[in-house]
Amino acid sequence: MTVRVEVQEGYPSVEVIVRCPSETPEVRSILAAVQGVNSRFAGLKDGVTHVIDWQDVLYCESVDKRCFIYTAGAVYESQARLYEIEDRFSDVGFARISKSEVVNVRQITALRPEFSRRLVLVMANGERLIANRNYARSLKERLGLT
Amino acid sequence: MTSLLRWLMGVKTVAAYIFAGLVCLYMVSGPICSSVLHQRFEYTIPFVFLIQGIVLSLLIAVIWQALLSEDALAQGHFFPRLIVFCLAVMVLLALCLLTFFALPTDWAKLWLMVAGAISAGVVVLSILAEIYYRATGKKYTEVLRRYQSNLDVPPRREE
Repeated sequence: MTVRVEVQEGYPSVEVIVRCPSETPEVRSILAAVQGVNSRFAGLKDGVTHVIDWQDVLYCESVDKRCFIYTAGAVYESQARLYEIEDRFSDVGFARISKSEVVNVRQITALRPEFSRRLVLVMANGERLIANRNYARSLKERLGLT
Repeated sequence: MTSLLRWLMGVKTVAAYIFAGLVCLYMVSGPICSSVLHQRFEYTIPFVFLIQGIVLSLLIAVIWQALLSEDALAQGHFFPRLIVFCLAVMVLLALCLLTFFALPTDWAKLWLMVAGAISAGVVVLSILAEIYYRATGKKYTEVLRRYQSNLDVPPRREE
């Protein structure tokens, strides 16, 4: 593997290009590592700031203008706004399911339609979340269900 | 305490809707019944009916709030809860009609038959809907798994 860094003033931003004959597990892990940079949450719990990997996040919820991050084992408070989390992590599978909730689609284990065009999301920890009618529609479009 | 108050406010709101519905139903059904039975309808509601209506509305609202509202105490799928709600309301109405209003036997029989038919209809439709939603849920979950497996491959940037 050859690593080459080109530094030039004219470049608008940092760009990483991986050239490879085929997409091997090694290449995937390189891509995952690159994409993992700057994709962690800072969450406050019991007065201590923790670094949370986005893959561990089940969902984020906004309550009284405060944002909480739920993982399988803990709840953290974040300084980030819900829309910021949605914008920043939508590429890796975060989706809005209600006015106050953004869910990590990777952590959904089952989906089920519910009365009044809502969607029930069963999360990896067994918790059930409800996607409201409008957000259920956009989630279904995203998954290719419509 | 806040959640209890929110729960009770939900009961109050639903009870108000049901009570308004009962009053409207009385004022609409009264003239129809009086014309069928050749009796005079006064277009007034006896005070005792209002009290009974309030009590009945509150009881139905509590069942609604416990089973079907967003703050429902009973968790789980919607349609089983709908069946329980329907049966509970029918039993409650039957008890109220047979005790408070002391319906004549013929009317009571008719009412019980109609209520029974409505309950049976709700139960059958709910079971069918539950089966449909379960099957659809399985399909959705399969699509979700496919989407998740695609997500595991990081997106490729075109040069």
